[in-house]
Amino acid sequence: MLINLFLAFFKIGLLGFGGGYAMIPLMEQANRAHHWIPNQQFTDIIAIAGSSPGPIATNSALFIGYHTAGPLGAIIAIFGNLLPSFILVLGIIKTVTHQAHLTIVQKCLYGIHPVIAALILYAGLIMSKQTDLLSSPATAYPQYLIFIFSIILLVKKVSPVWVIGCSGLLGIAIYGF
Amino acid sequence: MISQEKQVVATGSYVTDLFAIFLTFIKISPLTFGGGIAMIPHIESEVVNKRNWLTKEEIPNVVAVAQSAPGSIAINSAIYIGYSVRGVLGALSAILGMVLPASLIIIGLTYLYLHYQHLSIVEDAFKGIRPAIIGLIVFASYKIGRRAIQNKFTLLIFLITLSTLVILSLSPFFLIIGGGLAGLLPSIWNRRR
Repeated sequence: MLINLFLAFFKIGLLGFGGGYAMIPLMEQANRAHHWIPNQQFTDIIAIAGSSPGPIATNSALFIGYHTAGPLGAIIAIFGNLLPSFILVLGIIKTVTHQAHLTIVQKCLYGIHPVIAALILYAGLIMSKQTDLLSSPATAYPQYLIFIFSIILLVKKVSPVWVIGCSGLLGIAIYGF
Repeated sequence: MISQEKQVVATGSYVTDLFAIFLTFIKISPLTFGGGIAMIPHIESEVVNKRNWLTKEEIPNVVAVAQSAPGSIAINSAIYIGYSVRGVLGALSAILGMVLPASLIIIGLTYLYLHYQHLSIVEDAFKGIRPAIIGLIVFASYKIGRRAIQNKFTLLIFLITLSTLVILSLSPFFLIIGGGLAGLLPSIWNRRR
């Protein structure tokens, strides 16, 4: 159980090229495979992880680890998630003394980043299916509005915390009354 | 480009420095909202201007390495800077500063969520938040995609990946490795011509 949690998060950390959001599709996919938390809940976890300080990936790892195996699970998930970064950043500092070595890495990243963009977009699609955003247009139209509203705010460089906070208030205003 | 001797910038005693690294990254940790790159200016003001741990010229190196290694850019920068100041323990202090306060807040929020998720007001709030999270993710894809898709070749990689995911639901593992290999193709092609 714990060893599987560790390995899964190690793999997520190892493949998360392109920052924290690059790890969300990997976590989403791993969660569907391992059934750590209900699929619909995954979006909620991202919401909580995104509205707390600290990197979104570490925050989600903590939540999933905690939910799966308690405090030890949380530590194992974070440790597994951070270990590849630790090894590889130190590895790069220690070994890359010539620009040429980093150039090979950057050539690989040139091909990896479009893949990551597609993976994140696909995760967005999967998650919108899981949260019934695409299922019933008639009842879901306030959700479409919130979706568009959030995109506009993000384009205007509003902090994600405010976007999450505002959409929560909108949810209460729309569905609570 | 990246100097090997990094321990020379240490300013105080060993333990004082480790604690200073820890505190600095506690301060930087809440600024990671919106993704790693957004906090680089904050890192610069703390680490270059205030602490004199790195020179301004080293910041692009931090960014290049943080983006080349997998994982959060914020964490990777913390590892780089912590290591530059005080070696492996410095890197660990930086990670701890980055993760510890956030973890305590997350534990609190997790507790609240698990206990109150079925309250109608919380359910309503999350009904509003879920589409915003989808928005956040689509926007993250756009932000990475805007930088990554520079020409027909990278657009092709993007489209192949997306259709492979929709049709075959292939593991991201192979897609990322495939992308990395594809990234090497243009230079091999140019060399042969």
